[in-house]
This record gives sequence, C-alpha cells and structure tokens, in this order.
Amino acid sequence: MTLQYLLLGLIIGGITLTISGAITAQLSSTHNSGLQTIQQLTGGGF
Amino acid sequence: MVALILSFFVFGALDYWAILTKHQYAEHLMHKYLQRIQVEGRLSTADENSLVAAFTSFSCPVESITAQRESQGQPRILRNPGDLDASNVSLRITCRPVPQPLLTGRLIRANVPGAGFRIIVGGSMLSERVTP
Repeated sequence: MTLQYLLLGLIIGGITLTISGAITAQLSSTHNSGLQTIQQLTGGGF
Repeated sequence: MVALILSFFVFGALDYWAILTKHQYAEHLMHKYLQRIQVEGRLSTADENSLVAAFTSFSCPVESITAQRESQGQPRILRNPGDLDASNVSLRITCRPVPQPLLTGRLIRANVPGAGFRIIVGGSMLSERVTP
C-alpha cells in the first residue's frame, strides 16, 4: 500500500512539475515580450 | 513553483498596469506643459517647478528636461510663419519610476528591466509667441 502511495505521489508530482514548468516557460516568454514592448514604448518621445 | 506562478498572476498584472498608467500620466503632463511652451515660447521657471512637482507627485521624479528653458537663461522661440523650422518648440522629459517596475518577472525567472529603466516622453509644436 505504501509503495502504491509512493508511486502515485511520484506520478502526480511529476505531472505537476511538468505542467508548471511548461506554464512558467510560456509566461516567461510572454513577459519578456511584454517587457520589451514596454521598454520601447516608455523610451519613446521625440 | 505553483505558488510563484499564482503570485505572478496576481501581482504581474498590477505591475504592467501601474507602469503603463504612469507612462500615460507622463504623456498627459508633457502635453499640458508643451502647450504652455507653445504660448510662452519657452518653458518658464514657474512651469518647470510645477512640472517637476507634478511628476514627483505620481512617483516618477524628473531626471532631465530638454526644452528651451527660462531657468537656463534661454530666449523665447517666436512665431515665424516664413520659416516653420525656426519656430519649432519641443519638450522631452526623462523620469525614473519609483519603485522600480516589472520586478514580478523574477517570480517566473523571466527578464526584469535594469536599474536604468526610465520613462521618456516628448513632443514638439510650433511656437505661437509673437513678442519676445
């Protein structure tokens, strides 16, 4: 029983880590793009 | 990691909103004083002090002002229909948002702007000032 719980924990933990890693990568990419846009916008003027 | 992502969702949006609002406010103020320059032919000392105080009031202290300024002893730029380039007046303001914006990127290991992040707004018009 303990082994089953351990395996279940590993599977769920692995899935959670994979999904959150993918979300973080996507968010990071979007954030960097937004940051670049904001820097161009706020560094404007003429 | 999940907590960091959730924190980013909550505070990241506030971060973007705050800096874009500051930029919008800086643009509005720049246009307000540019119109005064258009009438005056230069940025008067009183207007300059008022401008600096206005920017400080929304946590964006002015770092530099590029314009024809009375405080620097510069003469007025006068209306000149014969040579429009000669009657061009401009205003460019560089300010530093406080606190430093967009730091929430650290939560998701993304880029953050350096300490040199500044808001720069500016514009130009033709002077309407006739008398020196």
